[in-house]
Amino acid sequence: VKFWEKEFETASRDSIENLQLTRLKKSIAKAMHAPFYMAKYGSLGLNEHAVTSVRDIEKLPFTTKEDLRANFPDGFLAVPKKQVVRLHSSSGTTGNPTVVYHTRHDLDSWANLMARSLFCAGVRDEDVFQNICGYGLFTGGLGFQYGIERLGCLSIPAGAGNSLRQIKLMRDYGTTVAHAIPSYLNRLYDVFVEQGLDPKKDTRLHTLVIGAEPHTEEQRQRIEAMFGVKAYNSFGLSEMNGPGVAFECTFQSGLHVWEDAFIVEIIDPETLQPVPDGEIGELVMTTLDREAMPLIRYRTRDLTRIIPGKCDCGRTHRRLDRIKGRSDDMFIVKGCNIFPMQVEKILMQFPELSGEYRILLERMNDVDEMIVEVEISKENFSGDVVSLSNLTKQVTHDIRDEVLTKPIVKLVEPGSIPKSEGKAVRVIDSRKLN
Amino acid sequence: MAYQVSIFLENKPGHFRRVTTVLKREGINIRTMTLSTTSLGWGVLNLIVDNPVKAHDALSKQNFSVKLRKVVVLKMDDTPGGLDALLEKLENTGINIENAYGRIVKEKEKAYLAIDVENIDEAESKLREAGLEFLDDEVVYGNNLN
Repeated sequence: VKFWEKEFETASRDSIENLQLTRLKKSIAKAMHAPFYMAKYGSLGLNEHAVTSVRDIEKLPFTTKEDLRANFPDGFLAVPKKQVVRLHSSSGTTGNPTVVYHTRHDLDSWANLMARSLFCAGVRDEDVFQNICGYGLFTGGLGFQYGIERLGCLSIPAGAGNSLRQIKLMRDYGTTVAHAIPSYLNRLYDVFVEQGLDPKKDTRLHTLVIGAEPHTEEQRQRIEAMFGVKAYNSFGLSEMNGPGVAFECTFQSGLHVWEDAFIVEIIDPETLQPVPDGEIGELVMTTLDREAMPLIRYRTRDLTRIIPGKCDCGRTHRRLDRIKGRSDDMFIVKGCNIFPMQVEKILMQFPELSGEYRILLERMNDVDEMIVEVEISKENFSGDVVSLSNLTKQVTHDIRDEVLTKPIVKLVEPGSIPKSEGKAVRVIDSRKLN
Repeated sequence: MAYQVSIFLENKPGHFRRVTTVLKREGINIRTMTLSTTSLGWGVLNLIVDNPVKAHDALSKQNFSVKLRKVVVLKMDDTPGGLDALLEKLENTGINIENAYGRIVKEKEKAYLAIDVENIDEAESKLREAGLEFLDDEVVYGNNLN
């Protein structure tokens, strides 16, 4: 087994924890330059001296997505804006976006973690790496790009979509590694077949990196079989930079989370108490090497567990299991993070709709679909097919604009959506993720 | 001007009959109908009935999305070429038909064509100018066949 940074990746648990403690203290001190932490820690009488061991992190309060939004745009900024060189931000027009700032150091550290992640999955500098991912505010584009370059591969910043062009790029330049969301790879395979091509014979692909969308082990195996490659799971979230937070090694037995850069905790989302290794809970993360926007005990809302035991690859950084779901109502379709409220806000703008709706998430031929069933209004019913068809088109368009993935909008009769007692069940996810 | 009753229906087994069950209970008689379906999983049922207001209220009470929509009902001869002659006059007015459905009123004598157009009031005056004959509402609803 080869390593990108052997001294970090195979360090003893003791030295990892010592490094974590040193960096945690620094992070707290840095964070307290940001208005949010200055006020919060100030009022609680907390500072970097409150922690004398990594476990002491439990004394510190959580940071939530709501905190990030409420302190938009720069309540979490811990350095003068002059030092900031890039921001990434969530999509959507509902409420404040989640924005994350980076200094030059932050981007450098992120690129290194990304390169380490790819190296760990067997990618090397002789590879030709096609990044089939949206560039721009979305972290999957630039995040991978800088890591691919740091590792020394020939990078092809292909961007998302346009399957024929993706295939042509792969064949023209002899792509050996590609990164995409799993559901897109299913579609890409179909296009290969339509073109009379077999990716196993007609490309030089040996590795696919899949992420940004929850998927099952079966789905991974199907992708591996279709393309004749090894497929590795990538995990990240924009609040923790983006991709390069946790990554599978060639043993494919969970995702090593880089503990020199992050402290991971798994908590019970109800009691907020830590759960033992091996048990599923909510992932809470702390940045250890970030200047512009240190985040301490950030509740990711992703449900997963620490896989107990050591990995055969020799890396000592603990492994996260595949993401099992969410502890809030966010869901992910085709790599887009979506809250039901975003859909609801759009639907409320149409008097022709009653406002009753539900979202069905289904996996059709390995492609995730978001079906929005919405009742039409009794009072504002126009009575003709043309205006209802136009209404469907407009609603589809507006939701797509908001959440960046195209829904299937189904108009239904008034009163046909089951009303639940108490908290309405707005999202029914029938995709199987275990 | 006559009214048609337009009802939104999901394209699912049993949904059409929910309408007819309500009409049966209310003693409402259907004169003619069309059902337009779309590839989007739903359609619109248009009915001409003997008492459109009563039908509308009864269906609305049962939670249907239902609308009374004005239609132009034009007379034609119940002979070969009758519809063609009517459409020829209609064509000259430049009015575009959104939906249309016909019915014989009395065998071998009269028939009518109900047409649904975008701007109904403008269409009505144009059609009158063009010399087209309108059918009395009561005849359309079938309450006075003579």
